[in-house]
Amino acid sequence: MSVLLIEDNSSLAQLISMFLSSEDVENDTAPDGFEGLQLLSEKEYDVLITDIRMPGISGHEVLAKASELYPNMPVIIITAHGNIPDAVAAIRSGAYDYLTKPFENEDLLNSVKKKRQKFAG
Amino acid sequence: MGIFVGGKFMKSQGQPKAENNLFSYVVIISSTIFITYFHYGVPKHHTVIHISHYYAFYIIAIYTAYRFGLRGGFFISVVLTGIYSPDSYVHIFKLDFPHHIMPSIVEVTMVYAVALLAGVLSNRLKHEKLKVEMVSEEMLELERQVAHDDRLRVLGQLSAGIAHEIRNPLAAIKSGISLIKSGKGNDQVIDILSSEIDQLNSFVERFLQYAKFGAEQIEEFSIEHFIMELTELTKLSASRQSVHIDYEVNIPDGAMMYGDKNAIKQALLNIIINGIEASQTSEHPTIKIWVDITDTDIYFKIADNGTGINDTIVDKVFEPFFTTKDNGTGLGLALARKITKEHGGQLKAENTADGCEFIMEINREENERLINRG
Repeated sequence: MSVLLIEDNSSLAQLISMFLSSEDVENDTAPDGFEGLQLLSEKEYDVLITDIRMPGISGHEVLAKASELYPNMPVIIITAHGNIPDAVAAIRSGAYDYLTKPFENEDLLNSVKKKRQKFAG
Repeated sequence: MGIFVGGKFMKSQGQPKAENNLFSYVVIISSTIFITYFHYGVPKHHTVIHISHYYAFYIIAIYTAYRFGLRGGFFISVVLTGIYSPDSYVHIFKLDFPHHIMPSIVEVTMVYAVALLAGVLSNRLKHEKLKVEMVSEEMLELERQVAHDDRLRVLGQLSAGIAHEIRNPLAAIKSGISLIKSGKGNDQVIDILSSEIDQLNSFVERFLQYAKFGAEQIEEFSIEHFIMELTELTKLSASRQSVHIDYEVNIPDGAMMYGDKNAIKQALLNIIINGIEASQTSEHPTIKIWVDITDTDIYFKIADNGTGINDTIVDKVFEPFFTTKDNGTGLGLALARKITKEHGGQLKAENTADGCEFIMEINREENERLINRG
């Protein structure tokens, strides 16, 4: 399984990447939306995890463009600004899960696996 | 200058009431003794002197009525006319009105009339003054409430940025701890955790230093440091929106400003938040913050690339409770203009080719006077 993580907080990106690798989840990281879309244009991932608030291209824009490129690719939103209207807006825009920081590594992993199974099934 | 938000520029006028009353008693008693001395000491054929002290009694009666109202006016009339013409009272009590006493009785009556009239007017004046003071007090309270509500609004806007600055390091810390607990942690994870804890602490320290809204204090402060604090808060305010912020700061080292730093910060932040919201209509939302200083003025200009302000309402945007937003209070810009005026400046709004520009122009000479008044 392959995951692309777009997160501008380098420490968090590094730790999530280490965790996913330890769980045998192949992953790439991008520090902003621009690089993330670049990677997406080169390769399809099984799951996309993206932050919302990032310099340049926002997570919402990434979500919209990723959905255009790969309509069946599950997108998980991770955000520090968690609130119900935002979550509803993200789900309506095509996101399949919405995690508010700080979250448990296991919750993220479960979300990744669940979405993968759902889409694979 | 008037009343400042929070009342810190309002100073009590005059002396305490008890001291004022004592002074009035001394004036009334001493002038009465002085004139009485002349009344009885000067031979009666010095007509001019007697006419003069007769009119001087009027002045004492009016002054007493002014100071102590209708009761004071009546009391001093009894005393003064008793001194001036005790015979008049004797004749009045006897209901005996010979021709020679009539002028004195008329004069006594006139003193009463003048004193009582002055007393009535004085009472009315005091009543009106009390009403004005009550209204001023209510206005002051309203201003405090408006300032408080606006601070809450600005802090609400900052909260999204605060969440971003705190939750990102917290997420990294939680993730790192989870790795360590599951036995997958290493020195690199510990280093990251340590760095994130430092970052979190640094943010809290900066925030406590910068976001002191409501801590009213007149002081001399560095414009450069002020801009650093404003930049930090602007970053937090813009946290939820996608906006590019440009700064152009042309100030010499060590340039200083005077006043309530937090109030000015609040005023500018209000304008910046409005600008960020307005610029969201643009494809590339941008805010330009320009700071300049001349020999006479300090300028803060904030320009956005939104749709601008409709020409028909550009003069109204600073009026209290005027708003074009569904959830706006219409207080932010009104308060910003008030704070600017209180710091010796003026706040203007102009439409530009790209959007709208707010100019806060602080006169340095008037601003410097604040430190002496505060």
